[in-house]
Amino acid sequence: MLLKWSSKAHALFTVCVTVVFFLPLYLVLINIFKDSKQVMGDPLGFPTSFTLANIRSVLTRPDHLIYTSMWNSTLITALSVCVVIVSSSMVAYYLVRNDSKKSRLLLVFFLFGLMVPTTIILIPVVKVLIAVHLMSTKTGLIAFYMGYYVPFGIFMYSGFIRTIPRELDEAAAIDGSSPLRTFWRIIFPLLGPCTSSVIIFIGLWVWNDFLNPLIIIGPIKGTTITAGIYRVIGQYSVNWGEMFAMMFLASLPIIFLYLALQRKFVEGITSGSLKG
Amino acid sequence: MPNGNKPALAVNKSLIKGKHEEKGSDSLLLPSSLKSRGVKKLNNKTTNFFLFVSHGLFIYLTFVIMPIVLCIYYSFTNFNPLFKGFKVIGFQNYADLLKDSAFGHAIVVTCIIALIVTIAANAMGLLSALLVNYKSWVYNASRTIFFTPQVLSPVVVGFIWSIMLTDDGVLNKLLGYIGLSGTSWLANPSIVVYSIAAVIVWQSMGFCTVVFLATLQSIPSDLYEAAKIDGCNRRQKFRHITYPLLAPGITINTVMLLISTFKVFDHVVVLTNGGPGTTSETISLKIINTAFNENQMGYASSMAVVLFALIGVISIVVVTGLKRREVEY
Repeated sequence: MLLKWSSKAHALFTVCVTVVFFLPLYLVLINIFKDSKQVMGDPLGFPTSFTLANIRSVLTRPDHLIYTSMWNSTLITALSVCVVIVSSSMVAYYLVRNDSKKSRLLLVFFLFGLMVPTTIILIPVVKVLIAVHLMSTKTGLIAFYMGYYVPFGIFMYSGFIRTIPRELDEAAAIDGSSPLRTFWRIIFPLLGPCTSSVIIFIGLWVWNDFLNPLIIIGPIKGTTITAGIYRVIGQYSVNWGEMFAMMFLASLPIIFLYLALQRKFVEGITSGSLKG
Repeated sequence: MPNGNKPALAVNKSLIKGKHEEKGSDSLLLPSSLKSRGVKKLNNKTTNFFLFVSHGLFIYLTFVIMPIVLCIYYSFTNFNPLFKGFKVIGFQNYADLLKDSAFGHAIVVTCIIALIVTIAANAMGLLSALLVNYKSWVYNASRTIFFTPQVLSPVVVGFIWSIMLTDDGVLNKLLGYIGLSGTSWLANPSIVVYSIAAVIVWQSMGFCTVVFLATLQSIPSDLYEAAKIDGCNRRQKFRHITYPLLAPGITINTVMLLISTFKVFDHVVVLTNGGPGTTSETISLKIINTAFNENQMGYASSMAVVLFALIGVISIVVVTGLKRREVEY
């Protein structure tokens, strides 16, 4: 009897903590559907008159900010993730399978990149991008992401490839398969769990990144969604409802993916960090 | 030229050390039956290196290593993009940095934020992990909610909290309901740094929760059974089993949080933009402002070098210190 009571109390306490923790997100969700008068007067109450005006006005902005920046973000995230996966899995495969002093050193050299914050390299990166005429372009940003996140990909893949038996490569080689073919046809399909972790991590980082798109793409040629919010949010300083609607729409893809693939998210994040 | 010497060396080695060496030797993309053909191996080795490594290495060198070298070089110059050409001025920038009280302040602010976030997020993450480490839909829902801020952009989190924390914001209203008078969380110079730290704790706590949950679930249950037989109570179980075996989780959280808070930028820009005045300016914000608003890129580079050295030293110290605490079982 006592045990049951205490477990109920425990559950109740957990609910209370969670509600307090959830408060800021509740604030966003609830205020999207209120008119601006009620947002200011009664930010925490339920909407008295349910309205979609906030979402509509964000979606029908004359500059189409939501559409263009959402498209830019999707494109940049997808392409960055792809190039990082292709490049880092191949590097990791080569370095793990050719286990010599040299390749171990090269691996350490790559992993050194995990420690470098973007603020440190951003000034010279801008110089480099100007020199190769890629400044203010999406290609430039994607190339930068590739260089910056390849170490992380190698870190994840090199741990995983070690668990795949070498006999597979040898069997394929005896059957006359070239190393490249062996890798893409036989090894890469086995790296699925690791690939999904890499997609989740780098996808999140790139989608949510703020400083790099702000500086590298610049204001002229469209922005990513995160930098876009930052640029226009000043216009909404009086209209919280629209501001929340904007942030909600910007985070919607990520939230949706997170809720759908929650187990994968959590697994990816813990496997990635627990290994190190 | 070094490539030309390599195959002969490898063959010699494998002859001397025999079969045992095979695992450690160079070219295992090839089966051992093909290994003796020196020339073919050389070709294969270089083409394989080219196919598999060159692209990653090239882009990594271009966008990470070369910028680091350039950054160190710029830090010894008076580089300013508005003027054509620049010259090496030796350690002048570093001497200026020593005298720059604003930069010293930025280091202090960053250290305070990093310290608070690391300790508070670890502690709250551990408590919440212990709270939700049960099987029921209530705890599943809590876990989902605790982790949600982690997937949001710091910019979005910053904006949400800036509305919570303004003078007539939600937090002060809530405090008013229970009869407390709030303060201006983001404009009061003696509080603003702690407000920023609190927001970052709110966002990163979920990460710690998840890592601690994974660590808790990896602790073998026979240890608890043994403790039960020996008559341990719950406190003793936590003190002597759970806490020591949580060490790997603590290491990961601490390193991740320290590294990410030492470069904290997004939250600060959105919440206060370094204000009021420069009270809440962090190192990263100072670097970006100096480089891209004041155009003093040489000077900003010297700050970046200092930040890099700080992060390097701290992560080495923390990793070695915390690794020692981890126990084998």
